[in-house]
Amino acid sequence: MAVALPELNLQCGRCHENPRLQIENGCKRDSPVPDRWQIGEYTFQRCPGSIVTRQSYEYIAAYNWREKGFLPNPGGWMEQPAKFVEAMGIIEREITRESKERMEEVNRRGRNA
Amino acid sequence: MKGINAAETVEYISKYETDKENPTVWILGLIDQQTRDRIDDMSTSYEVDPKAGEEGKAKAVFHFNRARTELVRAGLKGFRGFIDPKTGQEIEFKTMPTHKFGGVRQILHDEILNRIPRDVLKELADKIDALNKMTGQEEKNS
Repeated sequence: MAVALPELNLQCGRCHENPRLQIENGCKRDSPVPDRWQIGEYTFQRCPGSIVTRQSYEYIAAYNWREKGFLPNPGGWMEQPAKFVEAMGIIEREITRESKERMEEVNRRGRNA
Repeated sequence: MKGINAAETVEYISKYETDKENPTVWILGLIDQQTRDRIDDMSTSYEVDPKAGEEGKAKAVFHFNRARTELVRAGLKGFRGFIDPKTGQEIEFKTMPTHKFGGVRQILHDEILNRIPRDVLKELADKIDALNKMTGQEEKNS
C-alpha cells in the first residue's frame, strides 16, 4: 500500500473540508462504500493515507537506500535480517506491478488516441 | 519489531511461566537471511527416485524439531531470571563460536539450549519464526 500512495494522489485537505468525503473515503473509520480502495489484489475500507504505518515508510526508505547500494546493517545481502530481505522482495514486487500497470495504461491510451 | 535493524530485540514471557512475580524474560531477536535459508532448507527435504520417471513418488521428510532448535540457537539473544533449579541462581547467558558460511559466528551455547524446557523451546522457536517473517498485515501495508 505504501508503495502505491504517491500514485493515489491523496489530497487530505479536500476531505478535511468535506465531512461527506471523509465518510466515503474512510478517513477516520471504515468507509460504507464496499471495497472503497483497491490497490492491486488488496482492498481497503480505510483511506490508505490514514492507515499506512511508520514501519512501511521505513521499509520504503530502506528500499531506496538499498537501490543506491546501502544496506542497513554491516555485511552483505545475506547477512541482513531475513524479515528485511522479505520486505524488500514485497516492495520490489509491488513496484514492478505498479510500473506494469502504468505501462499498460499508457499503451491503452496510445491505442485509443 | 520492525525488522530492519539486525540488533533489534523483543522481550517475551512464556505462557508456561509459573512464577508470575519473577518470570524468566526471554530476549528474542532477528536472524539473518543466510541462517533463515539454512533453517528452511533443513526443515524439509525431498527424495526422488530418478529411475521412477515422472510418475514416481517423491518422499518428503520434515525435520521440525531440528529446525526449531536452530531457530532458538540463532534467535535467542539473551534472558533474565532463568534460574538453575539445583542452585537457585540465575543462569548466565552463554554463546559459543561456530564456523558457518566461511566465518565464525556466535550461537547459543549447547549448555544453555539443553536447559530450556522442551515446551518452552518449541514456543520460543514459533515466536522467533513469527518475528522474522512479514505478517499478512505488514505485507498489505508495504
